[in-house]
Amino acid sequence: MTEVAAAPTSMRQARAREWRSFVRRFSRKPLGVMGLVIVLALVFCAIFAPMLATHDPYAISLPERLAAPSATYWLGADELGRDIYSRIIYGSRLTLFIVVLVVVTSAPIGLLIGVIAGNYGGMIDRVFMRVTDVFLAVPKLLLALAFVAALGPGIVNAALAITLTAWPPYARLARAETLLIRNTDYVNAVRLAGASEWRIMMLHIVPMCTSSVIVRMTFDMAGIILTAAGLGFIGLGAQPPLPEWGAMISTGRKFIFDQWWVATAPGFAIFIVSLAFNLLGDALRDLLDPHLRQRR
Amino acid sequence: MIDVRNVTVRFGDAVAVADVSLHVRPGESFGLVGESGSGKSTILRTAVGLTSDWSGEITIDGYDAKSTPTRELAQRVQMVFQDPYASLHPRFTVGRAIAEPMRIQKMAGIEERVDELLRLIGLDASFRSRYPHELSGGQRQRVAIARALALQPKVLLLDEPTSALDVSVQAEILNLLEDLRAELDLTFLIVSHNLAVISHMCDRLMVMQDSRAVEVLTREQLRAREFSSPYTRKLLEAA
Amino acid sequence: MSAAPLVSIENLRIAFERDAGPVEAVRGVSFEFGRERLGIVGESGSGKSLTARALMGVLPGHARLSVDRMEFDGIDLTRVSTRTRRKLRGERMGMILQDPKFSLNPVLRVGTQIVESIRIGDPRVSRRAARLKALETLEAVQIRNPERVFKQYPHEVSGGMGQRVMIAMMVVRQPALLIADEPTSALDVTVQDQVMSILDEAVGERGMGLMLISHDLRLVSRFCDRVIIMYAGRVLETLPAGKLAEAQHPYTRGLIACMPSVDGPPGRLPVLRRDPEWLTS
Repeated sequence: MTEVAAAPTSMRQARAREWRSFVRRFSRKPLGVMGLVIVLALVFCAIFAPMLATHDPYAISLPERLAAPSATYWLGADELGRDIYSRIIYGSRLTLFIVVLVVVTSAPIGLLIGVIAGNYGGMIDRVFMRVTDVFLAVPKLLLALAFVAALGPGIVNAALAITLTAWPPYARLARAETLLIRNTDYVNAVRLAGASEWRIMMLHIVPMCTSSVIVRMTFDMAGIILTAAGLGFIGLGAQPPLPEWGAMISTGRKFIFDQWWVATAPGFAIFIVSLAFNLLGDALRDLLDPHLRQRR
Repeated sequence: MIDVRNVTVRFGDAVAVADVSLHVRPGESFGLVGESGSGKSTILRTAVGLTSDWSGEITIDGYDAKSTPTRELAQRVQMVFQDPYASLHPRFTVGRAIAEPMRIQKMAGIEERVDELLRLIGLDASFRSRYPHELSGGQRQRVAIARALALQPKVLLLDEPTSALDVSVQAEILNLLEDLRAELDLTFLIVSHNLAVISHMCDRLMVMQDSRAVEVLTREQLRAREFSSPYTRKLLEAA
Repeated sequence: MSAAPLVSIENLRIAFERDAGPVEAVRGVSFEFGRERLGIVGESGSGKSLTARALMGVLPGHARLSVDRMEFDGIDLTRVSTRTRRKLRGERMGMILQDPKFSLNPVLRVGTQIVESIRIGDPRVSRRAARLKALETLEAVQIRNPERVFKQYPHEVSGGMGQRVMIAMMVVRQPALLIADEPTSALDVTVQDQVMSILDEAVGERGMGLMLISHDLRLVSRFCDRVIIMYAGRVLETLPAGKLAEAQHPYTRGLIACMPSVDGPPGRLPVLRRDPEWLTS
């Protein structure tokens, strides 16, 4: 490639150019765009819930108990006569809250542990990775269950419990990437310049791990939603009267044969949102994964 | 300038370099030639502390390679790697890659120095904000050379600096290296499998085979075919 | 050259879709050759490997190909089905790539792969006969202990040995055309010549056409009859291999001049000046 595009004049322009090229490549993935649109819609619902909702999600109206979908109750009403549509809209806030809370805590923890273990090797690596193995060896939901049982039910505790189960895959991933990156010549070059190991890890290795971590995070969000809903379903996540989707399914279970909409509507919401995160993750993986990227 | 005495390097049970000694004078360009597995690159990597299990003694510009902290040694010796596609951080712009060693050493006037280094290696200032994937192989190797020169070392270790490049680009890089050596008064230790490159660039050379030194020759001796080892002859015939 | 050439290509163009629009990597290449040794020389990006891949029918999926004529031994390659194409690749054309590590299946023994290769070429050959033939071929490519190599896995053999195995695997089927893409670039210099001689001999004995693709002008001039010089997707000139010194084109001359040599003069090497006119003229 001898010919080079018009020279950018500043760092900011260089970044902007990289970003534009990324957006252009992303826009060629229809399923990924669809995933992104749904995720953005979720965020939109969460922010503007009061405007989108038709009823107060907590307003009990016993005469309307288990009402079928109608012009007033778009998706019907639950066992206390609360509007299911409004509850799902408000529930998006809880879902998003849990997902964000879990991701912003578990990914950095896992990344840090993995990079340190991979970069130093030896004893540190062995200790860190055995701890990781222990966490990985126990089924996720079971472990989360044990933590919530210990911490007490509630939405924040549920998020914390999921965090404790969600970081090990990031540590594994970051360690594997680090093992490859730490011996590359570009890392050797800064090592020769006298860089501290901390600087090498934070400035040179971590940026190379972030793309796979972001991909993994996106896929994980689907799993987190399911685990959170699972905890809600068995009554250990969000507590009533909070309109958490899992908990809503749980109450709807009793009426599943006669008033199917009570459980189906929140189930559908969970399905759509986790599908969206998976589609988005797929597209991001195609674009960001360094191993796939070379084959383009 | 570079003194390697009885150096043996091990990778686990395998011996990569077996009892090799060599001496490079100030301002000299010295070549290490041999085939893959001869241990020639390992000597370079050992001199800058990239291997751990080794015995013997290496001094560079009077500094002991084993006991001098990397931060200090870095100001005396730097290395240029073989593959310019793997030696630049893919997420760093050219300007940042060249500035990084100076940031590590907390030098002053980094911005001006980056411009100066770019000029020195024959790229204009607009390259500062380019990413490696936007550059050709030759341009990348130039950037790698600029990065190695950032700390103003006296010694440059060059590990197959042109073997990943096209021949026409190789000529440009070899010329650049020659100019830099004259201008900045550098000492070179060059590793290559290509005897022609070594003969072109180096005053003296050492032939290596199977982790051992075979013989040391001056350029004149090589050209007059005054060598004793049949292996050197074999290399020469293949070149 | 005989009356009917083994391969003839006319106005081959290969383009890739890029953000800024299609980029042509091969821009109108035409040549023909018979049962001879043809060298194609060029630097990276000259389109030499793509030309060979187009002939083999193994271009990457997103490449767009257009060609006025592409024939192999009288067969119009632009019209045949994918199946026939695959059959041709198995029986009558062979390709040797740069690094044997990537062309041999790492989980199968070397011998198994050669036997398979023989039986794909001709399913009537019995396993026993194929085995004997495989050992014979390994011996022919100067592997001293064929029985042992036969039982080894690809990672257990050295690069030079691996490349010999690849040659054995390709010539055993007696293809009419063998394409070797940088067959020795991953090998040590002292092994390069051996491997090239073996390839040369194998091809010569069986009367195959050899297409040797390389960046190394010297290697090509030593082992080929004719040399095609490519630059930026075009053929600049075609020369008899012995007459490289008489090359007309400034690019070829520059390429020869800028190589350092053991006995060359010290000082600056002549640098190739790329003339934008070479892209169009």
